[in-house]
Amino acid sequence: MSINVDARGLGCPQPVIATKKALESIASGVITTIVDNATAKENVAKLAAASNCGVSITETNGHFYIKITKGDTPTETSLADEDTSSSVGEGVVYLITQDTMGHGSKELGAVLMKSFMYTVLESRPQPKAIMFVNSAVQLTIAGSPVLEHLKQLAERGVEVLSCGTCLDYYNLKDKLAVGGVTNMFTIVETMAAAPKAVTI
Amino acid sequence: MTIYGEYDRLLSFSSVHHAIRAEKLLAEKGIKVIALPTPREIDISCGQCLLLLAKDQPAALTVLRIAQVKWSKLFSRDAAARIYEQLTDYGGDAQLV
Repeated sequence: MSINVDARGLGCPQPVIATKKALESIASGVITTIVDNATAKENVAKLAAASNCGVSITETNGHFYIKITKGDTPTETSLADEDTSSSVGEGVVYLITQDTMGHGSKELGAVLMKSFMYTVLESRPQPKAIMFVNSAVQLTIAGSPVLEHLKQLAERGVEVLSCGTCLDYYNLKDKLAVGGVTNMFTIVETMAAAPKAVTI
Repeated sequence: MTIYGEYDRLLSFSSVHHAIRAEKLLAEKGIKVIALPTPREIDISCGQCLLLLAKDQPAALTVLRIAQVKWSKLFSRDAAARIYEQLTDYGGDAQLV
């Protein structure tokens, strides 16, 4: 079974939806989706990878031909384990220095911090560690707006570490709800050993 | 990787102010929501969205309608496949339910 899905000219998410419908219509076979932009190409490839299909992509004159093999053992490269959406590097360490993101509105900063943690949770490869200092320790205590995100990151092996001095300063030692307590020696060593350390 | 897979509805907003207000109002009413940046599959521009459960959709939209919070589009969400299919937009039928 072979199906062609010509999704050129269609806006997101139509190429993905059309491909999904084609995938659902066959038990096994090859679907070739044709798109004309990189975003659609990535999104269709991600769909194929999430559906455990083999994927190969060729480009001709700015048009992407995404060949998706469903059923049997995919003989072509699967993108399932590849990171197609994230530029977060392997083993990156984040140092979070305040409870909101950026300077300016605290309300907006809280929104951005939630968005940031959600996106880190979704990104691959995942960071090695996220460390919290100063007012950022308010993110790791009970009632934190990002507590659920951090718990999931911790469950997936990301080190979530809060500065002990900072918890002490803010009188939050007994409220820590995720991860462990650390000190400046560990913070410095962890950052120095990381391939990339990012301060937020 | 699937995160928050049980959340099968996504509500987008044209303004971050409305998104913030919506999140606060829905939380106050005990409706479970997750705030997130707008997925690239929907829009590559910046924006804020809320995830919610389909079972809470009628109650959530009622809360927002009464409070005159303007949302943009409502999508169904297949978290595993990262597919968002638009169900309606603001002013569409779904806000009436």
